[in-house]
Amino acid sequence: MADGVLINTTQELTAPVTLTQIGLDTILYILIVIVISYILVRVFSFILRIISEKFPRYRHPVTMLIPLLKIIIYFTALYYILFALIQPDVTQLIAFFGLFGAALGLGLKDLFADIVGGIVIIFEKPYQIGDKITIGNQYGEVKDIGIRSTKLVTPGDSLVSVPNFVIFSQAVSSGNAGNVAMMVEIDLFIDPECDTGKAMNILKESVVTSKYVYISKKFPYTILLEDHPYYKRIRAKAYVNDLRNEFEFRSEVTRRAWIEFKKEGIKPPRYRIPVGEPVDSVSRS
Amino acid sequence: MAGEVSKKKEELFGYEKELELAIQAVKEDQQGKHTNVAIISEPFAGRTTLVQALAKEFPGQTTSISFNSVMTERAFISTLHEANDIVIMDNCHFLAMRKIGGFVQLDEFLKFLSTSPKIFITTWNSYSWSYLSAVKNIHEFFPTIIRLSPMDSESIKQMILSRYDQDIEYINDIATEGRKVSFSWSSVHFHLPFSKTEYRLPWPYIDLSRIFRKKKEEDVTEIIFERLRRVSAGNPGVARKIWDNSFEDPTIWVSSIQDPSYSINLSINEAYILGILLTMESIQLGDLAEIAGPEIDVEKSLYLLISNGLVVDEKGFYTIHYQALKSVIQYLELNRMVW
Repeated sequence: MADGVLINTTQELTAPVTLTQIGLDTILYILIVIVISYILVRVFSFILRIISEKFPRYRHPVTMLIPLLKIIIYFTALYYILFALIQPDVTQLIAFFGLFGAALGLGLKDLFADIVGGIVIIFEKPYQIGDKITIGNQYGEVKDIGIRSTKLVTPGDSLVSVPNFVIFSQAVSSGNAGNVAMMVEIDLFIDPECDTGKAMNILKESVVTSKYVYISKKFPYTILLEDHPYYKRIRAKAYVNDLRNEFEFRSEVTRRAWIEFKKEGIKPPRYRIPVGEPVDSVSRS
Repeated sequence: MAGEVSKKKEELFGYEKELELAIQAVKEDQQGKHTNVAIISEPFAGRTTLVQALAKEFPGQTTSISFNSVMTERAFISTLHEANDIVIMDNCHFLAMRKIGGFVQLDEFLKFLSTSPKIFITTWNSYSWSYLSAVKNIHEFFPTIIRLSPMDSESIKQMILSRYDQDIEYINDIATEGRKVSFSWSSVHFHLPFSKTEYRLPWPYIDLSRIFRKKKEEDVTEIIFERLRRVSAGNPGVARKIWDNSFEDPTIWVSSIQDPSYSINLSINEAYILGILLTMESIQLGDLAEIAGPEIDVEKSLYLLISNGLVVDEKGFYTIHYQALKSVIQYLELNRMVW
């Protein structure tokens, strides 16, 4: 069935298009289209990134225009190239897409899935440029959403390319969902015999007085206590004013809280639980 | 200079309506409907003038306490015990410091206030208020909240001109000024039905009036006061300072009302120090260092901020330069250092 279609469409296509029609001027035209579209993408990306950095609050909406522009520009370029090459009528277009479909089936399906994934990312927005996301085993800030892949910068400053089709098969979590502010969890572990009320108050004040914190009705903070057999966990949940300060926020709050804990006689857990050991066999450190 | 010109007896300070609201709140309290009042504004806006005018309305019934620096002692609580039934407390943002353990005095005050039959008229820096409202829910203690919103050019004009008896000569020495369309952001405060919460909505302010102007001679006054409003962002204190610097008795030139541009690009530590200065309005080095903690080199940050013309040292008290106020607020709000 598929072979029959392929044979027919190939016959239709070969009739009007001959190699003699693709002269030097056509090749030059195609090159110019490619170069111009590449320059346009670069220039628009550069301008939009500058604008987004100037106005941090609107960083995400502005940067999300970049992948959209890329798709528009590259598809327009493809359109011009196709018409320069074959100037197809309707029959030829159908034939071309038939061949295109066959090519996909033969080996380009991953590339096509990436492109479709890129379009889905742009319109469905599971994440945006500037978001902190976890995708697969990777965590980092989205630096770019390309036609084929999404580029992340990990906390270790590595650039990771994740194919766009991954969003169809794996869960993606975004820590901030398009907002510059992002919730950060900070856990501190204290000895169960310490004054937990005092410890919670110190952690609360460490959070709300941090230079990185952002608090409002929409971005509230919470302090939670969880009891474990050999330690107590105090967890602060609060929003950092810019997700790029996530780790500095954690570090600053933890450091300041522990300085106050020390002053107030609040100590870390006395018992060390070896990894993989049952809780019964904890040793006193 | 402005000080040499003879002045009228009734000098307006621009917030006469807000004064009426405060007077009404006190009268209702005296009639048995207990309330406490929070008067909130940006730096330089004239909170102190307003509460001084309020005190004059109730002679012998008020006790006024004005905080000029960060309160670290609870001695003021004993003053409150002995105070009259109307307690006016100016600059209450000095009751809290943004540091661990820095809310003790504020907690003491709120504890006293919540059990006292007296009415407390308090004034707060608007950015301190937003912060403390988010962190300590202070808005719950003050059923009456009066915000001193930015003024329009007509109000600024009335306020400035109420200071003078004589005619002022207005000169437009900038030819194109009258052709421009003025655009800026102001904010509208409103309540939703059945809700006590006050919401703030950014609102574009577009002045097209100068496009349709016909008689150039009549426009000069409007041009000058509109320019004054734009440069001061409607802040009456800033407008008055700019006017005083620009006015050469008895003449004012449009060009003398300068709008200096500030290109602010700061590190997180410098921005934090600037944010503290904006929220506290006036603070000494020692208090600033205590808030900033050991990880910030406060003196270096202050040096950079002063060098950039954003901050001034007024006899050991550091404040935002009045001309830089608009730019500082824009920068810090954009970077979510204040809200």
